[in-house]
Order: sequence, then C-alpha cells, then structure tokens
Amino acid sequence: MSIFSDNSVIAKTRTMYGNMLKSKQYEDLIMCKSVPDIAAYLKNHTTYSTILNNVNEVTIHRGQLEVLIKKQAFENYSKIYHYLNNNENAMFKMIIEEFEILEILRMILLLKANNPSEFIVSLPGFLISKCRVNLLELAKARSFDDLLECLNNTHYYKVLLKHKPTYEEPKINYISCEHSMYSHFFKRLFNIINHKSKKSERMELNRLTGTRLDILNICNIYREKVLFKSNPGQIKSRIFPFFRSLTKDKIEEAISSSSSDQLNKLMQDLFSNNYKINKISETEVYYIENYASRLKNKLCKHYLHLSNNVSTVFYAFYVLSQIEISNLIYIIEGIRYKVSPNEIKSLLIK
Amino acid sequence: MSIDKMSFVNIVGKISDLDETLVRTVQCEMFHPENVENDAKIDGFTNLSEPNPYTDVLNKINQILFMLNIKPRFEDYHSLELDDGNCRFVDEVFKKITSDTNEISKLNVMIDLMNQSLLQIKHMSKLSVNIENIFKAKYVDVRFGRMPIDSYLKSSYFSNKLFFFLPLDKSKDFCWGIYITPIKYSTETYNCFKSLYFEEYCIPDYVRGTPQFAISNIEAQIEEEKTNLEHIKSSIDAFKDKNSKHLLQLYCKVKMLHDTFEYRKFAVVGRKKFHINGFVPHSNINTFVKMFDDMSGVVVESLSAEENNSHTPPVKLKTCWLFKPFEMYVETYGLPRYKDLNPSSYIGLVYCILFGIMFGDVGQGIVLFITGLLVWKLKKNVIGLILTRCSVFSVLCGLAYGSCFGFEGLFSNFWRMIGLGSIFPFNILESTNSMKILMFSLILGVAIIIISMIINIFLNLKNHKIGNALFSNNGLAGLTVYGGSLIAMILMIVLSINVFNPIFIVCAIVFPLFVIFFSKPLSNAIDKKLNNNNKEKLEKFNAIDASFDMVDIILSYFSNTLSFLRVGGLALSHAALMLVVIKFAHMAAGTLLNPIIIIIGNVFVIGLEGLMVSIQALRLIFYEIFSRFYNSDGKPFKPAKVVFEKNSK
Repeated sequence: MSIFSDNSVIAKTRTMYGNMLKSKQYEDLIMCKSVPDIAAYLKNHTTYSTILNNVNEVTIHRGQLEVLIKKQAFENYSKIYHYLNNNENAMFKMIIEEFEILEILRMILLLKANNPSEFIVSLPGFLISKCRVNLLELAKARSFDDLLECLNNTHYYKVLLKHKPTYEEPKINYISCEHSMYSHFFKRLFNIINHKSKKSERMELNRLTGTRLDILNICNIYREKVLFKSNPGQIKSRIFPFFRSLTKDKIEEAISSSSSDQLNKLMQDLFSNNYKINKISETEVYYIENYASRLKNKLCKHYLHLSNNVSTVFYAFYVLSQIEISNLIYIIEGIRYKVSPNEIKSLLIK
Repeated sequence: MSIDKMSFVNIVGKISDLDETLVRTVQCEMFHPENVENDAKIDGFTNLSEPNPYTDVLNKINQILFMLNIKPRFEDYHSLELDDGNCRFVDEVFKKITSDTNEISKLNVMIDLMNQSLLQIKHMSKLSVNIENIFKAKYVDVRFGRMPIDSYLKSSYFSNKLFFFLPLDKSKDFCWGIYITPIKYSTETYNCFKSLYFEEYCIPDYVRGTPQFAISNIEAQIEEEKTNLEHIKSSIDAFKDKNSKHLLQLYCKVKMLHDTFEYRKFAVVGRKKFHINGFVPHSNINTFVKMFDDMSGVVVESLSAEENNSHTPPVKLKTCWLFKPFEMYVETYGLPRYKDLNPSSYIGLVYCILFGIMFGDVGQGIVLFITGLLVWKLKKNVIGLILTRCSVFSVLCGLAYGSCFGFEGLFSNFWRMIGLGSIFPFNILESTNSMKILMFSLILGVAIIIISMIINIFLNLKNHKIGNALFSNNGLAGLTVYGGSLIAMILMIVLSINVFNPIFIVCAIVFPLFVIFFSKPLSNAIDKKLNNNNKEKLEKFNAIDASFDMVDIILSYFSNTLSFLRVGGLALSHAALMLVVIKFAHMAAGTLLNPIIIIIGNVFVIGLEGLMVSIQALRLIFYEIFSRFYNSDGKPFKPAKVVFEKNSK
C-alpha cells in the first residue's frame, strides 16, 4: 500500500511540476508593461489562476501579488503534505522551519535597522496559522529581548541567546545570527535525512542538501573574500560546518589562497567536475549566486524526473517552486523599475 | 478532360462610356480583367487611380446591417436609384441606429455597475442601519471594503490602534467589512489598512436606507433599466422589420457601384478614350460582344488566346457533371496550365474506383450515398457530392464482394442469375482471394502509372517539348523501361517465357536508362533545334546529380508500383474490421445488444475506414499520378463580378 501511495504522491508532485511556468510563459511575462498586466497574465494563462481568481488584477498591489504567489506555492506543498505518511512529512515540517527562520531573521534585520514596525507589512498571512512561532507576537517585538521572549518556548531561543547584544557589544550581529540559525537548521535537517530508512533516499537527500550547503559555503567565501576583503579568520566563521563535495581541506585551501584563481578553480571543480555541467565562464563568476541557483535547478529537475523517493521528489519540487517564485519576483521588480526585458531574461533561472 | 478555350478581348471606348462598360462587364460575370500592358501606356495612356466615392456610404450601410443583425444578401435593386433622398436616408438611419446602439451600451454599463454594487451591498446585509447615515458621520471616518483573509488574521496586530474593524462577510479568500476610526486618526488607520491590502468600495449615491432596503431598491432599478433596454431593442426590431428590404436593396445597389468602380483600376485612359483588356470564354464571346452593340462609342476586339502574347490565359475547367466535384481536388493541388488538359474526370474515375475497391460494401455504400446527399443539401459542401460518386462504386464493389453491412457471401443468387456465379461473390477474406485482390491492386497500379506516362508523353508532344516526351523518366524512355520490364516479368512468371536475353536487356532496359541519364543534354539539344526562338533557360547537365537521379528513378519505379498494394491492403482491413464487428455481434446473439453492436460497429467502420480510404486514394492521386504529368502553374479564371453575400465562394 505504501509503495502505491508513494507513487501516487510522486505522480501528483510531478503533475504540479508540469503546471509550473514554461519558457514561453516567462517570455510573455517579461513583455508585460506593468504589475497589473503581470497579474492579469498569471490570472488568465497560468496555474496561478486559482489563487488570483477573485482578485482585481487592475488594482492589485505588488506586495499582495508576491504574497499570493508565495501562498500558491505553499498551498501546493500543503496539498502534497496531506498525502505524506508520518515518516515523510518531517521534510514538510523542515520547510515550515525554514519559513520561520526567514521571518525571524527578517525581524532581526528590521530590529538592527530600527524599523521593526515594517515587519507586519510583509508578513505572509498564510504562515500565521502554520508556524509554531507566534508570528503576530514576533511582529510586536521592538528589541532583541522582546524577540527572545517571543521565542522562549522554541528551539530557536538557545540558538539566538548567545547573540543577545551586551553592554560591550550593543549592536546586533545579523551575520552571526544568520550563520547560527542556518547551522542549526542544517543540523536538524541532516538529522532527519540520516534517519530515513531507505539508503537511496538518504543518498539523494544528502546530495540535494549537500549541494545547497556547498553552494552556500562557496558563495560565502566568494562574498567575503572578493567583495568584503575579509581576513581568513572572519571567512572561516561564516562557513557552515557541514562538508560534502567540498571537503574541509579544499575549503581551507580556498580561504587561505592569496589569489582569486584558487577560488575560481574550486568553483570550476565543484560546478564542472562534480555536477557535470558546462564550465563556468569568466563573467559568470561575478554572478555566482545566479549560477549556483542554475546548478540547484538542474539537480532538482534531475531528481524530480528520476527519483522514486517521495521525500526527494517533494524536496526537489520545493526548491524548484522557490526558484519559480524568485523568477516571478525578478520579473515583477524588473518591470516595476523599467529594467530591459533582456536584462530580466538573463536573471531568470529556467 | 478539357479546359475552356479563352478569347482575348480588348475593349476600347469613349471615356464617358467607361462606367456603363464596367457595369455590363461586371454584370455578365464572364470577363476576366487583366492589367493593360506597357505597350498601350506608351501612347500616353495612364492607369486610373481615384478614391472610390462609394466607400463611405458602403461602410455606413455595412455598419447599419451589422448593428441590425441583417445578413448581407442579394435583393433586386434595379428599380432603385442612389439619389440624394436615398443617401440622406442612409445617413439618418446610421445616426439613429448609432445613437440607439450607444444608448443600449450605456444602459448595459449601468446595469453592470448596479449589479456590481448589488454584489458589494449584499456583503453588508448583516447591518441594520441606514447606509448613508454611517458614511455621512461627522466625527468618524467609516470605510467599507474587503481585505485578503490572510490580512484579516494580521489585523489583530493593530489591536492597540484607535479603530475597530467590523467583519460583515467572509469567503475563502476575502473578508468584507467596515472600519470605523476617529477623523483625527483617519490617515494613520488608512495606512494600517493599506498595509493589509484593504480594497475600499465607494458606495454610490443611489444606495440609500438599510442594506436590505438598498438591495431591493437596486434590484428594482435594474429591472427598470432592463425594461428601458427592451423598449429600445423592440423599437430597433420594428424598424428592422419595416426597412430591412429597402436597406438590402440599397446595400446591393451601393455594393454594385462600389465594386464596379474598383474595376476601374484595370482600365487605362488617355486622349478621351479608355482601354480594358481581359479574357472571355470562347463559347461566350459572341454574347459578350453583342452586349455592347447598342453602345456606339465602344468597340470590342477579340482574338484567340494563343494570338495574344502579353498575358497568360486564365484556366477555367470544363468537366462533365459526373466528375465535376473532383475539380475541388485539382484546385487544391493547383490548376493545370492553359495548354495542358483538365485531369478532373480522369482523377475522378480513378478516385472512385480506388475508393470502391477499398470500401466495398453495399449497405455502407448506400449509407455513404445518403450522407453525401445530406452534406450537400444541408451544408452545400462539395465533399458531399464526391461521397455520392464514390458510394456508387462502393456499392458496385460490395456487390462483387457479396458484402452488405459486414455480412459476407450475399448476392450469390444475383450473380448466378446473370451467369457469373462461378466468379462472384468474391469473398476477399478467403486465403486464395486475398492474394488475388493484392495482385489486382498491383495490376491496377501498373495500369494507372502507364496511363499517366502516356498522358505525359501526349502533353509534352502537344506543347512541343519533344525532349521531355522522349527522354524523361516519365516519357517514352521511362515507359520503355517500366513497361518492358513488367512485360518481361509477366511473361516469365505467367507463361514461363524468359525474354531477358542480351538484346532485350540492351534495347528495353540499358539503352532507355542511358537515355534517361542523359535526358537533360539530349532534351536541350533537340528543343534548341526545334525551337530556334526559344528563350527558356537550358538546364545544365551534372553527372553526379544525374547519377543520384538515376538511383531515385529506378527505386521509384518499384516503390510507386508497390504503393498501390495499399488498395488491396485496405480492402482486406475493411473486411477484417467488419468480421470483428460481426463476431462481437454473434457473441451477443439473441439479445438487444446484437443489433446495437452491428449498428455501432458499422458507424465506427464507416467513419474510420471512410476517412482512411479517402486520404489514401487522394494520396495515390497526388503522388503517383500528378507527379508524372501534372504542372500546377495555371492561373484561375476570376471573372469580374459583385459578391453580395459575405464569405460566399
């Protein structure tokens, strides 16, 4: 029975993937002239028609449109979650945790910028009832202490407590908070993955998450080294202590190297050799995050098409949905700020 | 198998007679106009290029007909003159109908707006106070609208602000309600609700009283506007009933004048004279010339089409009534050249024979005949007429197969009666007969290919293309190779006479193939010698191209012949499909299902096989026949005429 139900969930997920935006639809969207045009197109020609059905596309606000797009994706995960058995739905819970972390980190950033009242404006309402963190209480936080008090009964409390501003260090260190929160998240995620009964499932999920970590680490090194000119000690503190394709030695070698060539070589190794994709070009090095997303996109599509494990297919679908959301946000922002269609197109990950 | 002979006509006349001349040429519907060539223009003649004075009035009448929903059609207009009175009438009707249509649009917009308001007010139905009293409050700001349900969840965040939100109605996605806030905090509250994506609805002035009262009031207003709408529509309908005939007459008159004026572009004028050139079918030339007898200022000169060098004569197919519907297939492929022949009858006959062999069933043939008649009567579609012709052959072949609605072995008494009982009925599913039907289709294919080659030789000789007639793969050389090989094979297989001796091989195969290989230089040489004035560009000979062509030609002799095997194959598959239907019916013998299975099975086979057979027969004609002799460069005969009906052919 389990095998059959797994297959039906996989089929359902692949059907949802089949309804995702196609190249032609992206091209049509890029040619839209305004946010209402985008909303009208999504309402009339795409799978977003369900969520936008009762919305007046002429008066819709950009923020509202973005929230609705995210809500549609979330409803898709929820539909799949509905069919998952207890062993599999841990992955869904981790997705919710990631949303929680994103919202907590957004609040920390707003506290740092002394503008916490803005939090409520962008808070996705659909998360309020799903998250274990009381997001409405979190929205009321006006200091780091308030934030900690709100998270008192959650496992995030201990993680953030050590970053509480002190008399000596009164400023909030956002980067450290982000690093700790994601380290904590990956630790819990790997723990769930390693308790999976099927070997192939463990392997696939490890590869998907491991790639994500490798990409995060390499982007962090690149950002710190090339853009912020940080010293090796600072860079090491930004590295997530989970090593997959990129071994600890390789990372340390890249951090300690004096030239950027070493870093480029490392990226070439990671992208070209490990994942069998085209060599990274000189110009693409400067758009490393976009290139990394392309890699993630390729890997997830591979697993979504070929894997027989529900968790893998579900997680791959989740990542691909997030990529679609970011594509749509690129388009919305691009059209809002009159960016040329070609430039928007170059940012899209398909 | 002929193409209507054409006469070239040159009409010369006084410029004052131009309009009348054009009216007569258009009304007779037998004159195919051509642009006057440069030699006439050199003498100071120029083309006429004036704006059409009837365009405006025709547009107006077209719009009137469209707005009144009158389908444009012919109505006798000969008693009508397009005088000032009628032009004024068109203007007045246009104004009236436009204003009525605008009024209808306005009313429709108003009804839509009221319906939308009604929809919103219904969300307020929980309130039991006067709406205008709430919204006219002096010290508080009250706004009605909706917000996404997610935002409603977030609204509790603002619990410490000085406003309250009263939810009135909820759906899956939205929450409708009103918020009330002191005037002092109006802007701050507005910003809070803006961040919650609150969409405000302005309550129109006509909404008064409690929501329940307002709803009934708006519903009454909608009804009132609908009555007004109906009133205008009925007045338009009354006008339409009274004037539709007169409007159609006006339309036809103006359309005739407009379209006739358009043909002025074919005329050249100069020295107070005009010239119009064109073609008229030779059989109508006397009638055409006599038409202008009473116009002393107009002279009609006619020449045979061959005598005119400046224009290619148009092609008007002339086919007997039996095969006339098959002109459609010829036109689809492209018309033949003026000097070639009309293949409609030939392909019609071949199509019917092939169809009959592949779809031989008396009962189904009768069904097809009735279907064809209905299609023609109801839809005026030529396919219907083609079906009636094919179905006759289907019935004849069905008689030969002894098949009716899938029941085999019938009509044996009929065949015995006429003394052919030893041959017919010919049950094609019997193992010996299956092979015979396949052999027969091959022989039929060979005959068709040979006839097509002979037609090609005849046409090339007729058009003085001796090279092509003698040396091409579909000419005499090709016929010798193809026919010679087949005759030799038949002699060897049937009569055990081996004629494949060196002399035969050299004369009937090697030499003709050698000629085909060098067909281009040979044709060029012979055509050059026979037609000294021929300015056609000669084709260059390339040995490599010729070698590849040779392989293709030899292979195509085999493949094109074998292609006809499908005729036998489809005849067998038709019989086999019906066998399956009858087997299924037998399984349900004695029950109500039996006739149902037979009926559904027959309908299915008629639909599926009918389509397949039609396509395959057409494929054989286009590929195996037309490719051998047919040139589709013909120019269609398009007589000047006025088309009154929209989309009419």
